[in-house]
Amino acid sequence: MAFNRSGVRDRCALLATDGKTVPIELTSSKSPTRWDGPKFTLAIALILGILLFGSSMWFLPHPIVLPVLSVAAICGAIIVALIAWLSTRRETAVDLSYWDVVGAMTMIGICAALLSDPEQAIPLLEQRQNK
Amino acid sequence: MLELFTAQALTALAQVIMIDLVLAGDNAIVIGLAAAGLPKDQRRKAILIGIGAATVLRIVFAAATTQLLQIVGLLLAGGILLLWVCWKMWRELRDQQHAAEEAANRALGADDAPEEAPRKTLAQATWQIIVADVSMSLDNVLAVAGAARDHPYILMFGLVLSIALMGIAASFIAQLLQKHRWIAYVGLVIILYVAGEMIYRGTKEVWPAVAAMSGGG
Repeated sequence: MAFNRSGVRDRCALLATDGKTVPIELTSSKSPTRWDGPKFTLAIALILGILLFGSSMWFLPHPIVLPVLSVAAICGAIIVALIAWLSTRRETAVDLSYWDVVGAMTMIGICAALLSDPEQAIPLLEQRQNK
Repeated sequence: MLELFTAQALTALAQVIMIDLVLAGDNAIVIGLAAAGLPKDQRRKAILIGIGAATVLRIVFAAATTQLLQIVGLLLAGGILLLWVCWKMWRELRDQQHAAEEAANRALGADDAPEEAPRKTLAQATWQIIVADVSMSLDNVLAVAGAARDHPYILMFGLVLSIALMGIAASFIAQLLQKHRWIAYVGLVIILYVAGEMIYRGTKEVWPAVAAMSGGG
């Protein structure tokens, strides 16, 4: 039986009968247990993140770009966490789960916050608030 | 109800979240990194210990900020301490990777493969978290609290929010790192960056005193 690197059984295996090997399909790509929701969510989050980063670079002062990105990533993580919490579908241990997407978005948010400079960003935010 | 969603309220909220992310973010990554190698029940304990230690240290350091600011070289010492935590974590990650490779070799039938490396213990993780918390809380109180000195309401609300954020973020990160070990190296780079920044700022702070001493002597 064939196993891939992550320990998951491959979709194809060879069955030996009377000295001949015949390929057999073990699982179908259209299997009902297959769920690409988390991958889809990650792709959407990445696209939205890139769009937000690009538009922030264009429209906002540079010291606010990273804080905006970090707040957006954390808010996104909260939304995906809610989806994961409400999702009743069981997720396999080897595949990407909603919680993995939440963890990744949290890390991106923290990185953006750490790289930003609050000393420059806070006065700019206050200026905009007073306008 | 609608006044909660005005531009001013949202800007104030963004400020609070931003300060809290800087306050709690690096701690969350260290706690997540240290807790990631532990079994699930011990992971929870490590995260709780980490949050508790960080909260107590923040309150103690915030209360003694004036005295702490008078000690020259404290930031540099904190940076070096954090660098040491990074080194320990990197060695652990490397050992775990070797252990995984050896386990794979054994599974493939290589009988001469050495014994499995010992698993990380709760005591080891707790020790790492507390040492990192000491240096990071010190850095946060001195730097971020200094930046937001004119906004006490943000700091008060921020402390409570940062505790919650630290716990939730650390548990999400630990869960992610448990499953995708390679991301732990990304976390390590972030902590290394924080340590490097602390060492840089600490050296800049110490340098005039060293120069004066060497010039005077």
